[in-house]
Amino acid sequence: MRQFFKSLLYFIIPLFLFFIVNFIINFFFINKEKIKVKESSVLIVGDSHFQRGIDPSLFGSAENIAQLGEPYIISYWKLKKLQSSLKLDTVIIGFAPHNISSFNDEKFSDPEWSSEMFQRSFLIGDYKDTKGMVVDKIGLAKVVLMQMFLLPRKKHIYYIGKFAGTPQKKKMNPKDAASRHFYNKNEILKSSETSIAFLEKMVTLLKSRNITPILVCTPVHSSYLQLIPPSFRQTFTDQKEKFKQSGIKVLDYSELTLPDSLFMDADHLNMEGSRRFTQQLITDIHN
Amino acid sequence: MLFNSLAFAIFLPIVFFLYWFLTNKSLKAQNALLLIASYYFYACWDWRFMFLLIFSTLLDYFTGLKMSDANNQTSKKIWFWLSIVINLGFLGVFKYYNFFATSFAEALSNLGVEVHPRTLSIILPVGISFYTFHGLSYVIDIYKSRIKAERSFIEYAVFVSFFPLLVAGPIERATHLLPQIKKQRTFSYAKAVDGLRQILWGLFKKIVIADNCAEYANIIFNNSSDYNGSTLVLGALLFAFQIYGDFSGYSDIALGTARLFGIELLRNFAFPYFSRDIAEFWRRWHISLSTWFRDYLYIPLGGSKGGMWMKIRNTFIIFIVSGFWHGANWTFIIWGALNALYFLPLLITNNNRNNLHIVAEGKMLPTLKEFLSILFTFGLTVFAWIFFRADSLGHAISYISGIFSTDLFSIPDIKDFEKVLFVLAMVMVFLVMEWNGRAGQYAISHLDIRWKKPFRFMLYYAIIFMIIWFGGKQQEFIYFQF
Repeated sequence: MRQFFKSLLYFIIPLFLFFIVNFIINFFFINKEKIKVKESSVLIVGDSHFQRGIDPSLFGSAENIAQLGEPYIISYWKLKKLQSSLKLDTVIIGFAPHNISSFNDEKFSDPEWSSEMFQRSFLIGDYKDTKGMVVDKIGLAKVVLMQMFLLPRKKHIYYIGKFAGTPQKKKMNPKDAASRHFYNKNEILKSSETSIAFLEKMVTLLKSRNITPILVCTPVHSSYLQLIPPSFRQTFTDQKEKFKQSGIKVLDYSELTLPDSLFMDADHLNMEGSRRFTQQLITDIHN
Repeated sequence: MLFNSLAFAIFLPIVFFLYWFLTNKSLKAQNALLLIASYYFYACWDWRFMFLLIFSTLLDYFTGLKMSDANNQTSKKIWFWLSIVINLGFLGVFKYYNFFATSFAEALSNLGVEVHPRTLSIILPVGISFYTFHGLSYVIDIYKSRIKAERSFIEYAVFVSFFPLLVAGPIERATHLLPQIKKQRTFSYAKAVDGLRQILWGLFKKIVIADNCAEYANIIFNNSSDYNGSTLVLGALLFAFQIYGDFSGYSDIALGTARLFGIELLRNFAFPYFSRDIAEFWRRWHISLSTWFRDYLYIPLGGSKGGMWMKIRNTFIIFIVSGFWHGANWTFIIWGALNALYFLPLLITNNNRNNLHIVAEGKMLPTLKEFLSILFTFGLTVFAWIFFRADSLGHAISYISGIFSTDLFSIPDIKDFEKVLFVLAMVMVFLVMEWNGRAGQYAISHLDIRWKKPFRFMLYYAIIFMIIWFGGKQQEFIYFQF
């Protein structure tokens, strides 16, 4: 038995040392790594609706850092990290019914999403802050292990997205999108208190730094719009009114009628759609 | 609790430590610990099915005792059939009821009689086919007076539910496993090291080979109508390596884990893809099931003793039953029948026991004839896997017709083709390692003799890093559903 444990130890020690060295190297790289966001006055934050829907090159000085499937909690952590290093005037935040759906509460526990979300957020996130969300702690530990111990990596910052306009038109899939956003099997999901709370925290944070927050809902196809449960539309409208009353600019384009050719699918604009929409958005912001 | 999960990585060292440090002085304590650990392991899947497992264990334990103590043949027979009927009854209800009900209704509907059968919405208890077969072999062996009934319930319960083999085999025999359970195990350095090595190799097969192949095989099979012939061939090939890596990987982990506790399980795979004919393939694939059917079905049916027609009939029966054992779907039945058809020419020409030894034994490479035979056998197997993997017979037929209808000789057209090429490259590395180790129990079992420690360690590190870096998305073991 002693010989067995001795051999096991001899086998494990080099492996362990390898992991420690990787950790030290990665720690060094993290401190050296620069956040790749150009100095700009406007920052665009949100999920895939924004990532595909707003072309920053049409603004005078703007950066789109939106990412696929991003919940408000990560947007908040990103803004908290970036607001001190950037000289921002305005932050445009994606605000649509699906952003306040409780499907966002599963982003740290759903196997489809969690490892991606942990990879993006483990350097900036405070997971004690995640009231109302289940956090897969083992999944988080795995991601940290992969990122910090297994290999020396130069890149660790995965939370900065960029505009991803898509020229092609995919199939319209309003049912798929709506069921993902608003339904669990056939039951209508609840609205997410955590998401609403973090949206409010973002707005408060920006206002405290004299940065103007603007909430924007991108256009969606009418076939998708019809499938949004009335309860969600009501909660969305209530929230919209609440923000307006507190002096926040809210621009809702969800019911803007656009031809099918401007959509990538039922809830995302394509390249041409984003160009047309961004031009209108710029005009409306300035008015 | 999956073998390739963090939970198992914590569970195994704890049980290992308790087993060798706390219970090593007493056989009873060793077995009690194994039983508790096994029930905990099973309860992690679904604690409700624990009762079914315990009931099945109690049933076979008591009927075994009653048969052993029976004064006459009639009473022995009654207890024997009671056990068989209840065991198969459970299997029938949980696994086959819906299939029979819907198939019967379809058959009546074809005759113009509309019936709406009531189907059961029940989950298939994990491992039911495996532990039921453990119990059946025990009861049959007692009935045939090959063994005596086990008097200790704990020892019998460990035989049925020993956690490494509980959910996906190998299907053990009382004659092989019970004597090991009844004897106190002492720690063996060589066995423990060999066990760890086999676990590592099993994890590599599962995580690197099977899970990576599964990702693309699933895409191709689930959207087969969108792909051309060459891509469909690629999908079938990837599935062939997925199922091999998955199931033989599981078996390696099970055998390695059992060896850590001083127990030897039956070998389940012996490099089946290097078989030169289908008969050899079936001597090397899922050996514990093939030999189970041979001993408890083929031989009682008369085996090969009653002339050619008898041989053919019995061969078809065991292949079809073996297919049906895998699942309640016509696809499995056709898969079994197809393998019987492949087997037939060898049986008729009396060539089914030609290739009993390892291919190209003691040589680096096979002869051209051996190579072509391996390739041909592999091709037949891959073709049959299409039925095994397809969701329905219609799906299998449309998949096969898709192969021959469009662009069979073009470059496969699948998204991320470079990644698929990378997966195929890993499969090639894996095949080379398997080929080099084909004389052993598993591909890297010979390392102790041939390689010095630093080189062995280097290889183990390389395997560990391949598992970490190139491991595919975690998938459940295919054979858990059976």
